[in-house]
Amino acid sequence: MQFKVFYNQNKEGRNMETPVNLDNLREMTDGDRELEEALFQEFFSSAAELLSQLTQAVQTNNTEGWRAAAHALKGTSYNLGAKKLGDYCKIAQEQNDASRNTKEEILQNISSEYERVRAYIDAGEY
Amino acid sequence: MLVKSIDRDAEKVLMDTVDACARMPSQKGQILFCAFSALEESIPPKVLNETLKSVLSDQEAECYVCSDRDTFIYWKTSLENEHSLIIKAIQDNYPRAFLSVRPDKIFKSFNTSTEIEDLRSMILGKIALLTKTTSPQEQKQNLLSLSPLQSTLLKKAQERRATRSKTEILVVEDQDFSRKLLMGLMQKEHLCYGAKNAAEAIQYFVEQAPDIIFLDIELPDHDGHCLAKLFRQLDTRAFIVMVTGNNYQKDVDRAKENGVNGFIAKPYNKQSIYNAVQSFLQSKQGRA
Repeated sequence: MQFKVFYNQNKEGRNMETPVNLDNLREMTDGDRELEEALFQEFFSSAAELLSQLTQAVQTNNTEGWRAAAHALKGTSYNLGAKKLGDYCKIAQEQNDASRNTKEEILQNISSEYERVRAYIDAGEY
Repeated sequence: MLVKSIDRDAEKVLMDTVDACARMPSQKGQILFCAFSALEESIPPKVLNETLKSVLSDQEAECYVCSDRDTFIYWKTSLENEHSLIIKAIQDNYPRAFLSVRPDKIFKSFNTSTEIEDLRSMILGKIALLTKTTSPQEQKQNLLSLSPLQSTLLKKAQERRATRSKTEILVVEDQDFSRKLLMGLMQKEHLCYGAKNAAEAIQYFVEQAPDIIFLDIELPDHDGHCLAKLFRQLDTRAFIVMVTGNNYQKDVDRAKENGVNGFIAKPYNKQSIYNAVQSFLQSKQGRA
């Protein structure tokens, strides 16, 4: 049986200053605004839940909980087009065994970037 | 239909069951199914008593309490009214998931609410015992062991697949956003099912025999690689594509070892998804 890696040809974005590059998402949804809106809401809801899981994982020193939540938020963020947020989550996932202080710092970065993403989407300037 | 709903509101399930029993002609071997969830602590004792009384009113009834969705499907699709076969299927395939209450031994002694409460305790105790004897590791292992019933369902679904024209796709992804994104793309042209964990994935797999499976590696209740291996063993025709947020070589290697057809790293991309579907269509054409 033939095995194939289907490589992504993701666009790096026209404006790397923005927290989200929606080009890829737009292609996936064929520009269906209703679907996009529903997906944004889904993203906010998932991200809020995962951020709360990350916070809890730091407080309870739950390394597996931390890793799993970071992994989940990473995939969701990349799929949205929030690369920087995804990158922070990747760091979080990889720093699974880091100290509490380091994790709190990472979490701070994730939270701030998430707020940027949220504000960007809420402003509708994309 | 004897059972109208499962795993929903427990009270409704019980009341539906009572109604269904009342409508059934009295006959030997009569069966009562009700959902496991209906016997959990959340049920008001009054509702439970009413249900048990309705069972007791027919001394020839047999009561089976089950939590397994497959059995309901089996009941609905294959063996309606063939009670003896259902009983056999239950006994053969789901010894852990079922309780049987035989009227000749228990029902006749049920005259007071205390006795009914005793039965309730006994049933709850048995549930606790069943739960206790299954460790998370065992549960995980059990998930990948298809029962004969599930194998039958899969075989039938595969037979149906041979004659269907539309491509059916299963998206297994625990994150709602990512699953909906992928399904949003696929649903325009194909029939698409979404599963958020391994248990749901297996359920769709045996019931629908999907043509293409997009399978996330990290799932809450099992490892996607193990699931892929199982799917490949059971279905050589399924076109399985692993999807993951971890673009690790070890995952690619493991996917290859498991005999899957492809691998996609997140973020999802329209072209890579289409390429995968196209690859399936070509392989299907090659087989024809």
